[in-house]
Order: sequence, then C-alpha cells, then structure tokens
Amino acid sequence: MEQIMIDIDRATMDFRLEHDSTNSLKEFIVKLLKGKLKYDRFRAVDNVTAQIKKGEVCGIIGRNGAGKSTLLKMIAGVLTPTGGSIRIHGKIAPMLELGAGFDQDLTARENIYLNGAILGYSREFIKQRFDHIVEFAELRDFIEQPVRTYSSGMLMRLAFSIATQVDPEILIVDEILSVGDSHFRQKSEGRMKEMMSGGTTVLMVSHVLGQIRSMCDRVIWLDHGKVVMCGDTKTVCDAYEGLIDFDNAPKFEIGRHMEDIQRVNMYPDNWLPPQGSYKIKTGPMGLVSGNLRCPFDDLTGKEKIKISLDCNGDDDPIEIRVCEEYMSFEIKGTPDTVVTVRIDSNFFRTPNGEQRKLSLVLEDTDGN
Amino acid sequence: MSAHVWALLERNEFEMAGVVKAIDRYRFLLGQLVARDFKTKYKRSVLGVLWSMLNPLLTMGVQYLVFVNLFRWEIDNYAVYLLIGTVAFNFFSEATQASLTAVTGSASLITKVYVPTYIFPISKVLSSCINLAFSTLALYVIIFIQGVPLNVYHLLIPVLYVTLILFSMGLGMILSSLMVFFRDMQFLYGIVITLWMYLTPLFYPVNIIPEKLFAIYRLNPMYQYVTFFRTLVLDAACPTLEQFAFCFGYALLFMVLGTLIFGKTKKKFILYV
Repeated sequence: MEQIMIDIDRATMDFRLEHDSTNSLKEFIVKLLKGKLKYDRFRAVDNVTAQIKKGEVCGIIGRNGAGKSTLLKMIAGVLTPTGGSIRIHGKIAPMLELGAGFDQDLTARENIYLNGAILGYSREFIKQRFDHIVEFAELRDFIEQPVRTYSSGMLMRLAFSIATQVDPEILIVDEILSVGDSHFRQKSEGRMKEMMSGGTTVLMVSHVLGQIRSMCDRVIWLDHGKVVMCGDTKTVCDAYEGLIDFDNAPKFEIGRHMEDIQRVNMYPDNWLPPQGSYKIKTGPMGLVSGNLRCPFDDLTGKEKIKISLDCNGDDDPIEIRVCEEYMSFEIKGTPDTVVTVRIDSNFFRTPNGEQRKLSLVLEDTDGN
Repeated sequence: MSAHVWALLERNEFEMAGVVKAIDRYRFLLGQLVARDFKTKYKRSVLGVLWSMLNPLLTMGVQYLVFVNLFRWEIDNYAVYLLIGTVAFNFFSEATQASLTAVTGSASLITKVYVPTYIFPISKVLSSCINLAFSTLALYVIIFIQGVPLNVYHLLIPVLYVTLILFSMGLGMILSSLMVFFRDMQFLYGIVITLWMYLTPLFYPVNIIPEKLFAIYRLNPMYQYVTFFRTLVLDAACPTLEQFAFCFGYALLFMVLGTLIFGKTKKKFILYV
C-alpha cells in the first residue's frame, strides 16, 4: 500500500455568519439575557474525505466559494476543522499567502529573517540561503531599503523567493504559480515545477484548468463544500467543464438482488439493511466504495466489529479502512461490470456488551 | 487548590507545557518578533534607541517636578521612591497594553500561516522587557546621583523582575484573548489602568491610606511588586516571607489563569480576528 501523506477524514468547517457575531460586551450581555445567543452557521467545507498518497499531484477545482481555500487552510493548520480530522504525515510547506508578516518599515534583509522565522526556518538555514534568496528575487541593489519603498512586484518576488527555499515533502499551493513580470513568471514557474517534481506530494488549487490538466494526477471537484467528484484528471476536468452530460451519464446501481437493482444518484447516504449480498455495478473506472456505518456517535468497540466483505469476479484485494464510527472499503473491478459484496454480520458489540446494528452506505465515487 | 483545579491540571488544560514548547521551538521567531517591535519603534526617529533611556528619565523628571513642588510628601529619597514605582508600573502597563492587541494586531499573520498563538502576547511582554532594562539603567543613574547606598539586596531585583514579568504575561494572555471576542476591552482597559495607577503608591506614601482600607489595598498585586522593590533598594532589607508569597503567588496565579483562558480560546481566534 502506498504511503498516505494527507489523510482527510470527514473534515467539516463551520463559520459563524458575520452579522451574528457579537463584538462588544454590551451586545453580548444583552443577547445573553434575551437568550438570543444563537448563531447562523455557514458550512464552508462539508464532510470531505480524501487521501493524498505519497508523490501524488492532486488538484482541487471548484467555483469561487466552493471551500477550496478553506480546505487548504485546514490542511496547513491555520484553521482547525470543526468536525472530522486531518492528519499530515511529513514536512509540509504551505504556500497559501506569500509574504506573511512583512513589516513595511523593515529592510528587505530584516524581512527575510522575519518572514523566514514565521515560515519556520532556522537562523542557520536563512543565513545559508540568504544570498540565494536575494539572487533569485533579483533585489541585490535594494536589500538595505525598507520594503515600503518596494513596488508590489518586487515584494512578491521577495516573498516568493523566501517561500520556495525549502524542498518539502508536502507542498500546498493556492494559485501562486507565477508572480511578477513575464521573465520572473517563467523563472518562478520553473521553480514551482522543480519543487513539485522528485516525489513531492502536491495539493494545488487553481482556476486555470489547463494547469490542472497538465500537472495533476488526480483532481477533487468541490462545490458548496462537498466533494462532487474525485478521480482521474481528465474525467473530473471534463465533467467540470460541462463536457459530461450528467443526466445521461451512467448511474451506479445498488440492489439486494439483481432483479431489483436500484438506481442511485451521485450523492451518498443511502441507508440499507446491511446483512446479505449486494450487487453493485461499477462505474466507468471500475471503482466502488462503501461505508459501513453505525448510526450512533459513541461507537468505541471498533475492534469487536466482525464483518467480512466478499467480492466476486475480482482478484484485487478489497481495501478496508477502519475509522472511528465506520469502516470504509474500496473495490476495484473492471469497468461497468457487476460485482457482489457480501456482508456476514451486521452487528457488533460495544465494550459494555450491547449489540448494535450497522448500516451500509455504498457510494459511487470513483477513486474517492 | 480545589479538586476541580487539580483535575484541570492533570488533563494539562492550563497548557503550561504549550507555552514552554512555544517559547522553546519558536525561540528564533520570538527573537525576530521582539527585534521587529524594537526596530520599528524607533526606526524613523532621530534619537532612536536613546529614547528608551530618555523616556523614563524625562517622565520621572516631570513627575518629580510636579509632585515635589505640589504635594511635598515627607518621603526620603523621593526621586528614587518615585522612579521605582514608575519603572515597575510603566513596565506593567506597557506590557499588558501591548498584549491586549497582540492577537488582534497579528490578524494578518494568524489567518495566513500556522504560528502558535502564544507567541504573540509573549513577544509583546518580552519587547517591554527591553524597555524595562533601559529604565532600570535610568533608575541606577538616579540612585547614584541621589547617593542612595547600594546594598546586597539589589541581587534580589532579578527575582522581583521575573515574578513581575510572569504576572504581566499571565494578565496579558487573559487580555489578548478577551480582546479577540470583545473589542470594547481596549477602551475599558485604558480606564482600568489609570485607576490601577492611582491605586498603586507610585508618587504618594503608603501611610495616607486609611487603616481600614489597607487590608484591601494591599491585595493590589502592583502594590506588592512596588513595595518589594522599595524594600530592596530604599530600606536595604530583605522582604518578609509574606511579601515573597504575594509576588510569587500572583505570578503563578495569573500564569495559570492566563494559559487556561488563552489555551481554551485560541482555536477560535481565527474566526474572530
């Protein structure tokens, strides 16, 4: 099994809506007394589950406000998910916003140290790379000038140069593939590509679909905080650009028996009685994934779950992942064939001996 | 301490370890932030760093002129008496007021990169420590001019400073955290600090406080720190056990409260800054 570098497990991010925020003590007390301390929530990222494997270049696409940047910020550790979890395995370099903490009154030299410290570099590292930073930003003559005298292009060059000094295991990129004039743009794009190559795991957001198509191995499409689609670059990009007609696309099918195959649409949450055999028709990429879910939040006896999955007509092993409240599995089969999933037991025992029932959720997600 | 507090301690909810870890792992960043505060403060002034010395001296000069001519308290070595209070209280007031806006002022950083938020109030308090060092120098200049003899108890001043710094840091964490949720704090605290100044014997003798009120008056942490300082320098005596207990007690109490409140709320900062 390939090593998972970023493990996003049902990550959810809720924000309180601005017009309800209480910013003064008086307001707070008045609302508290009136019992009106309720907030409207805005769910920016909704139950997103994804795993980024080592060396993978994964793109995230979606319209403005789809939750892309929020997701990246959660991965970078700037935001803490309000639900679910995100685990990072490796040295991460988030390039979300360049030049964080630049002080206008300090010189470029001082800002290199300050910004470097904020990015987590050590003094020795900055000293060692200092000349390289200045050289790359092409700011040799202005290094002792306060950066308030810099043009915005010069500032971006400096910021980019500081941020790209590391060779991280995981690189998080938000729309900053190129800065400055055409000469520097070429140079910075070259540097980005250099950082992305050589086995670096990359998660990037871009609105330039051409960039996504040429660089990514896999693409996640977000809309309204949810994963619409996740899979190989071409399929997802085509779908995103409206090249796939969803109404006429093959639907994935689920049913207890072949006779009463049900049609389900793209979204999960089909609760079924779990024991027995299920016939599932695989999608165009031959993938079917499912979750065995306990409809209770306090599931702790995961080690007691006794379930086996059986999948006919397929040599590939089934991947089963045990999470806190559910087990998820992924079956890879030949495209557009019917596979059978058999579940032996639909009960498990909690540590205090109670029997609880599991539900089965089968999802159509190709590769998610 | 109550059982509840111990339970909290055991679950490490005060996050003292978090503070120590932040200081240790991000020592370089802390240094850079303090250096930034220090450099930008005087960057565009003619006298530059000299102001760090001149400020307490000149402030003291003004206070001295006003209080010696107007009030005529019967206090020996009044200049030194006055400056000790000014040095301690100015540090406290500067450190806490800077901490107040430490988190909200760093909004642009907090929303962009991951930095442990403890760094911000800590760096503000450390920045104020630089001024404390300079004003201590100014204090010694006055001590020499006034001819107050030095004594062995001056060696206890670092102890006093550490407790004063920890006390200010604890309160600073509480303030910076509250400020995120209630911006009213900045106006409120300005008034509180003025009141606090008058409740601390900076320029008047302690014996003008009516005996009945003194039991409450002495609970003021700043009274304890200033008096401790004067005991060392002016009385040339070792402070009583009670004085030590007060100084260490307030430092511990506020660090515990500060890290508890800050630790509990820091995850929400980003949603409000």
